[in-house]
Amino acid sequence: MTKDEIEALTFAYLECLDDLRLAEWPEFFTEACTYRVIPRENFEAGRTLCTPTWTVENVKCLFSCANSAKLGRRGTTPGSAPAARWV
Amino acid sequence: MDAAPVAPTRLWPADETGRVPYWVYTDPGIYARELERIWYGPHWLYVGLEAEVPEVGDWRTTTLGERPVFMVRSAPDTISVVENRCRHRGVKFCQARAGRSEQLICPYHQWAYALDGSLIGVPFRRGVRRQGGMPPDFDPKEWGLNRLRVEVVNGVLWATFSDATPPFREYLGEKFCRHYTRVYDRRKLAVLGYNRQHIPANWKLTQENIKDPYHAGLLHVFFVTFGLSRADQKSAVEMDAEGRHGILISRKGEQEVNDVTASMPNFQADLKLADPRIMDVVKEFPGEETVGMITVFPSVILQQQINSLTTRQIIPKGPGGFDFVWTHWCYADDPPEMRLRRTRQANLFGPAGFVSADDGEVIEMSQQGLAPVPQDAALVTMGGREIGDTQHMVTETAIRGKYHYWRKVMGL
Repeated sequence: MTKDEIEALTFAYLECLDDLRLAEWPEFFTEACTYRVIPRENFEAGRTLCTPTWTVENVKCLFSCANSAKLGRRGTTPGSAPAARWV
Repeated sequence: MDAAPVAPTRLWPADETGRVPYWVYTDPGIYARELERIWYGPHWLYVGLEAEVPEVGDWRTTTLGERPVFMVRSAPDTISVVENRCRHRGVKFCQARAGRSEQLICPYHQWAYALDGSLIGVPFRRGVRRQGGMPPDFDPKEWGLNRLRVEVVNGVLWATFSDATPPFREYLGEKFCRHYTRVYDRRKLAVLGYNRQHIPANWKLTQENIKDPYHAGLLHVFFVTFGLSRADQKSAVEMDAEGRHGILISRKGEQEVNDVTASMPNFQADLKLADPRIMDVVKEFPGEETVGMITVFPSVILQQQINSLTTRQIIPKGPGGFDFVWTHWCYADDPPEMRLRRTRQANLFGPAGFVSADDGEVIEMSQQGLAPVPQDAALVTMGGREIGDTQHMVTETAIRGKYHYWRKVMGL
């Protein structure tokens, strides 16, 4: 990936969230990944608790479950499908 | 001493227990009186866990009411809570969250305090070459950091600004001592990690959210969908004799469609967790309850949601907002798989939790709606107008109980 491509990806990601296009958000993730948002306080103290941690084999399936609440309220039909794993 | 008078228009509605006027969440005079009579009055405030300061010299900073404090291990068997405010010029002299030191030193003029708050060093106290210095009547013993009364109760540290506060167990009451010791059972605790968030809503709304089981099966799609909270499951709401502390108890339900789910528009029977390990519940406490959410007035929510154990500390920041600090903990002797289970379940809670994110958002929306109309009032008559323990979830009795006590303390 070039620097320009990385920048374009970052901006597209931010615009997607700014516009609350949550159904498109999972498209930014690879199929299998661990997604962790760790508070600096925990990281510095060597604590692993994150806000949140998800390990997934298929991130699209995970988000269709995890965000069904919000997506449902916005009138989007949550997808079906499995294969998410919690760490 | 009350900092500000309460406006004469602040009268309680005629429906005494059934309504809560919105000015309780917005009025700066009310808020000032709350600080004096509630936060700095005869109430125990949550400070932290004993496990956070294991060695002599270990300290953490936090805020009680609006006052910054240290919790510090001042001797092997003593934890002190002293105000983080230099007695010289009022400096909040420690800005860090945690550390370890032999003394507490203010950077402004290097006044030095022992770990228990005693003043032990004042540079140039006797002047320089017989010039200047403190007057002869200056007695360092009178100028230690303000020290709070402290109790450590089964691993949790509590402090109070008032001499009138009864001992902690008496403050909690016999019934709530039983609820408390079900989870805080003298085993050693350990910290898994923290979450912090600011919620732009009055501090009282967060305890009311936990005193309101009515919303749990309606707002929280995740709970409803995956069978953790249902209006038809066995549950109970209990209060202490004063109405100030509350507990919400429930038992895990099954995901099934019936007449109750029909009134839950958020119920989605077709959704299944692909990996249900986040809901992998292990029975570990006596009784059949899977949830015990205790609101200890005024400062904390003690959470036991299945295997997730958390303290949620409330730090008021004016009438329109509060900081919310989540300390996720485990037992020190938990095997690794139990720590992992608790860590997984922590995904449900905190600022981005599948469940708790809903609460933070909805009480912010409450504040937005009620702030412009302080003369209007909320309706809290679900389950009647009585104040008393119930064996179901369709009630707002614990909110009514809280305001019964709040009005007494506030003189309103």
